[in-house]
Amino acid sequence: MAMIEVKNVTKSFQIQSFDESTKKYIKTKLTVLQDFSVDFDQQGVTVLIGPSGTGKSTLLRCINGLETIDEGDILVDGMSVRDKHKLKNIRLTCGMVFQQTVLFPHLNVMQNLTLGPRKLLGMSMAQATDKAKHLLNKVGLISKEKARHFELSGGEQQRIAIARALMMDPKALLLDEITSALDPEMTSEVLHILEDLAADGVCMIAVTHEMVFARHVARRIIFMDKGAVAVDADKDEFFTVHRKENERVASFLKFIGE
Amino acid sequence: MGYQLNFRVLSQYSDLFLSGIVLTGKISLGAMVISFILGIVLAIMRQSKNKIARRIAGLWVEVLRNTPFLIQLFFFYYGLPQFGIYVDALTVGIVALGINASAPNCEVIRSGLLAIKTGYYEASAALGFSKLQNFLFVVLPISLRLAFKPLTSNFVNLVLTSSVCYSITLMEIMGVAKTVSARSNRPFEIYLILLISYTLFTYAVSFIAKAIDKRIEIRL
Repeated sequence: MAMIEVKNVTKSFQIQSFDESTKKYIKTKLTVLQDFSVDFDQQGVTVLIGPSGTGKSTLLRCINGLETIDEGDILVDGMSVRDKHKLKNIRLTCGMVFQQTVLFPHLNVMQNLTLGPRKLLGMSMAQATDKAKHLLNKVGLISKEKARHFELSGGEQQRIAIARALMMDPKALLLDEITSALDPEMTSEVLHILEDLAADGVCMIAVTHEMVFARHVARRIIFMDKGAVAVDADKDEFFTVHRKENERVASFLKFIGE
Repeated sequence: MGYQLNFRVLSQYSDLFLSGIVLTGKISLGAMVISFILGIVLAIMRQSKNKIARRIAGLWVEVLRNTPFLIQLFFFYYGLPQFGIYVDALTVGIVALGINASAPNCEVIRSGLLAIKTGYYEASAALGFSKLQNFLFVVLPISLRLAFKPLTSNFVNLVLTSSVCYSITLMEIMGVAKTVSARSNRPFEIYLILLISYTLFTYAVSFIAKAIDKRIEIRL
């Protein structure tokens, strides 16, 4: 059984727009994922790529239970996201890091890291602090343990956010365009951390536009288009075979400068 | 001008003044605690999804903000005994002032709640926090810190408003001043002392608040 099973999921959003001719607000339905199915194993790094608006982020948010799904089901370690009582365990199983860094502003770095484990996993302060120090070392920010979020650069904040997610010992990390708000230098420092983690065997599912990352670290690449899986392939196969044969992939890769 | 300032006459009343200051302190502190807790509860109610809770809190705030404190005070002090509820003046004073100040406190705490970005909800939800845990560990601490500065100004206001409590026989500093002024016939000196006392009092409140604010200040 795969760790994450996405089964025939349909997800749509209500969008309000202004109709010029009738001068009224109208609600329209935007379907983002249509009868969508995919499995994720607890192995290596899977990268989700594709044009904007194809439901990559929505997929991650649905897996984590941040969005409810209209139809179908998602099982994380056998737990359904439709079951509200399982939501906490699902979120402990899949840690998530977002595009916008959201370190809790009233806490310093160390407190940001230890809050979750202490309150949710029943860790003692000493245990949590030890673990946090270990992870801060890993992301190279041990000197910043007392810093507040505004004393950190965007890249540093994102590295802390990764460490915070890892504090909960998730089986997989969901990364939602975590480098999109960063400049190239900070992007590379975050990607280095991710490469290290991948080398340690941390399972990641990442939405990204960083093809360098995809080339270096990914094991599997899923190319999404119009709310469906267009290509689901091994990395090498994707960059050789599919790039040549699939017109949509070729034009996308060309468009983003790969 | 033939008027001679004379503070010496008042020295015999210094104990009375002191007890007045202590009582003003008691009333203010008690009311601050009540108004703070009520303010949080009301702010949560006003932001809740429950329509009835929202309405009740809305009505509460509007009534209190749009009526004079003197009338609220008399309502509790003279009105309640008609229903057989007899409470001593001090308790009525503290509770009435606390209730009165709960309305503006509710509004500033609510502004703090409204300033929280959805990102924080999502980040804490993604860690596995329940809604209640999210509220207790993330939302409330952040919004109270954001609301702290306006809260201080509400508390200063509260201290000043406490002077109205003299009208229900409380011998706080204003009550003392009325009495002493009648006995000594030295109103100018007495009320000068009062102005200075209140200034020092509220200055002390702001001073403490600033010290706290330095420690808890946050940037979003």
